[in-house]
Amino acid sequence: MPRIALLLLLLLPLISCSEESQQEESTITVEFWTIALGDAFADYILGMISTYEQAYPGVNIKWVDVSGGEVAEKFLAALVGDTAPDLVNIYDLPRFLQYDILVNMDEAVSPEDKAKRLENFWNGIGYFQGANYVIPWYVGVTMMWYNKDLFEQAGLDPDRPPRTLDEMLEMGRQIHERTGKYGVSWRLHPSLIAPPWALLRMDGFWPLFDEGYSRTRINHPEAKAIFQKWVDAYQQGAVPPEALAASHRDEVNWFIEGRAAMLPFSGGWITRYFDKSFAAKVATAPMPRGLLGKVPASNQVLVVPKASRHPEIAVDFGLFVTNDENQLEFCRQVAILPSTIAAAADPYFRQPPKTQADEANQLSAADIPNSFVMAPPDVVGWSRMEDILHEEFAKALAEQQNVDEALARIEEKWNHLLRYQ
Amino acid sequence: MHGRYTPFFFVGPGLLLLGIFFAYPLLDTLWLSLHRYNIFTTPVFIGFDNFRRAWGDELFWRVLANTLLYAAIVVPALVVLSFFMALLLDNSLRLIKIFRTLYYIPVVTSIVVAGIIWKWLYNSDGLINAVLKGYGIIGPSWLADARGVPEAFLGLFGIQTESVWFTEPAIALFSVAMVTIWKAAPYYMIIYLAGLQGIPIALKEAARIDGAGWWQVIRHVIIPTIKPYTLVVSIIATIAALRTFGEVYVMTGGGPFHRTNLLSYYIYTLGFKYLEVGYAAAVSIFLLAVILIFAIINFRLAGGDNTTGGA
Repeated sequence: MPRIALLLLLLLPLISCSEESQQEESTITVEFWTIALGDAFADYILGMISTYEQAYPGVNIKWVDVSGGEVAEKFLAALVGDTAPDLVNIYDLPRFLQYDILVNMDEAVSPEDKAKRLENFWNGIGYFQGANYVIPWYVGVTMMWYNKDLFEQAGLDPDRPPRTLDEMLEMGRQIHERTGKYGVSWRLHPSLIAPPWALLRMDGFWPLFDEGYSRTRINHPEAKAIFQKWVDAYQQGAVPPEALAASHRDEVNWFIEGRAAMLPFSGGWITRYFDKSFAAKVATAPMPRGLLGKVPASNQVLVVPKASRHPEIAVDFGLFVTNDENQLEFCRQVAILPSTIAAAADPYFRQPPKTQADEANQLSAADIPNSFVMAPPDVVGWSRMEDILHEEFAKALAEQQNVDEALARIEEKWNHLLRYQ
Repeated sequence: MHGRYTPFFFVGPGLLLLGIFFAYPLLDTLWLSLHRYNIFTTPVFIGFDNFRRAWGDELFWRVLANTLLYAAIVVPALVVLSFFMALLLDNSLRLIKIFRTLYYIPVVTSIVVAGIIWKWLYNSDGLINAVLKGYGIIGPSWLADARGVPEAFLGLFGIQTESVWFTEPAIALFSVAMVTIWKAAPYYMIIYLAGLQGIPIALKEAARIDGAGWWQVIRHVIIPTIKPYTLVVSIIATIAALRTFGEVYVMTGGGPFHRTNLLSYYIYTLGFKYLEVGYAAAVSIFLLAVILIFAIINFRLAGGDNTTGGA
């Protein structure tokens, strides 16, 4: 008798497992990855998930929050391990775009839904050789934070921030000369705010390649003039010397530490790192313009890997996450901007600012129509090409070669890659 | 009871673990190194093309040279420094255990945290340069300066040189190496400490009775006795130095212009950023070969046949 009881006890979990697996079979699970939203936005994310699950009873959304530095590597590992998530917030897209592993959103999304999204973000960082592979999520349009104290110490008018890139670099030189601090908090490697190719674009030199991607046109007098301007500024102290070997978030730290006077940045959320005394020293301004007349913008995106088991539902949930209502609610919780037309036009972004973060955010919002998305060239092998650009430009910044030599070497190496890849 | 296969049951679990976690990844890396593979497409067999490519890859040689230079700075410094630290802590003072713990803190400090703190110290207007300024020296931006250490040192005395012999190691590489030394020395110190505490006191006392001074006891008693520990420290330190990744990842990203790029970081870039997995595997095989060569050299130099002493 005790043996029979023991047998039943052992069988019990199996029976319950089989019931559970029957339930699982009738439920579709969609795995959704976000980047470092963690506890701070858990209520918001879980609220969205709950609303979606109520609307679609057979769907279960499994939310996984991944830390920022790891998401691309984890995504790769999941793809290799055949455990691909269904909807992923991802960055560093070029390495994924060239391999045709993501769902083509131009095909998967209806023209009506597409029309609700801002065009420059739709055909932005997820655009690769004729198609868009991402659903745009929240947006950051570059504005500028500056340290009024350092402006005053340098003999500059703290109420008159620079309006052009040239003015910004000139003021940066003056700040270094008079205070020993640095002008512009900018880094070369890997810069999210304005990498070297974006410096070219901000000053109107674009595209970097000919139409068929057979040759680069970077070795051009206009490109030379732009790079020379930055090389001179770097050597005269307008930019911190560490810009050559800096890593993630260093430029933010330099500004907050008071080492650098101006920080081009994507909005107001940085204020969470300000203490009271520092907040009193800083002010906001529109991003200074280059010859292009537009300011850089970047945005978070959602992608659906082709390896997803439920790509249609993943796309649908992605459109739900990024719809007007949900993006607007997200923007109310943190100083970011939406990527849909109706949400961006909401009066919320024109209310009188209550905080510094609001001020920054309004400057960013006002420049949405004047922005260009920092999408790198949609050429195969861009990751390697960008590293070559960094290397040669850095050598020019450090006076190991002149700008002519740098551009000639970039041209030679890029053309070689274009020929052989 | 004891059949001829019985021993296999005892070694079986160990062999299985070695097979799964050592032999399989190694064989897989070898296999990948013979293929063109980008994760998303089927691997294509290309023979030794990846190795030929590495042979002609200017950046690979630059990175390999950086890695060897880095090991040449780090390993001797660790062997010597950790030995003297252990010597310092090998006594019976009342608070010695507290000191041993304090000295060990860098080992357990996350490289991310340590990297951020060292970056502050190394900034052009950081603490190190503030101290140097007190002596009238204008220090460089330690992690961004690509000049050679000898070149910069001669520059302090107004001597300008363009000779390539003075361009290595770069100040930035040297600065990264200092962080590795700071972080790893206490770990090797513990190994030495174990060795020092195993030396019979009678040996040292006999030497002192024979008239040996402090340095002579170290030179003729302690150093020969702990030779096996020195071998272990030098082998582990060499392998660790050749595989350094965290310091570069956190502090410089390989910059300025690859002057601090080391093999492990290069392999990571090739594999995860460029998705050239086959080529990354080939470079990994080179790294393995370099590590093996250095392990053999260490073993020979330190008299690897002498295994007495318990290490």
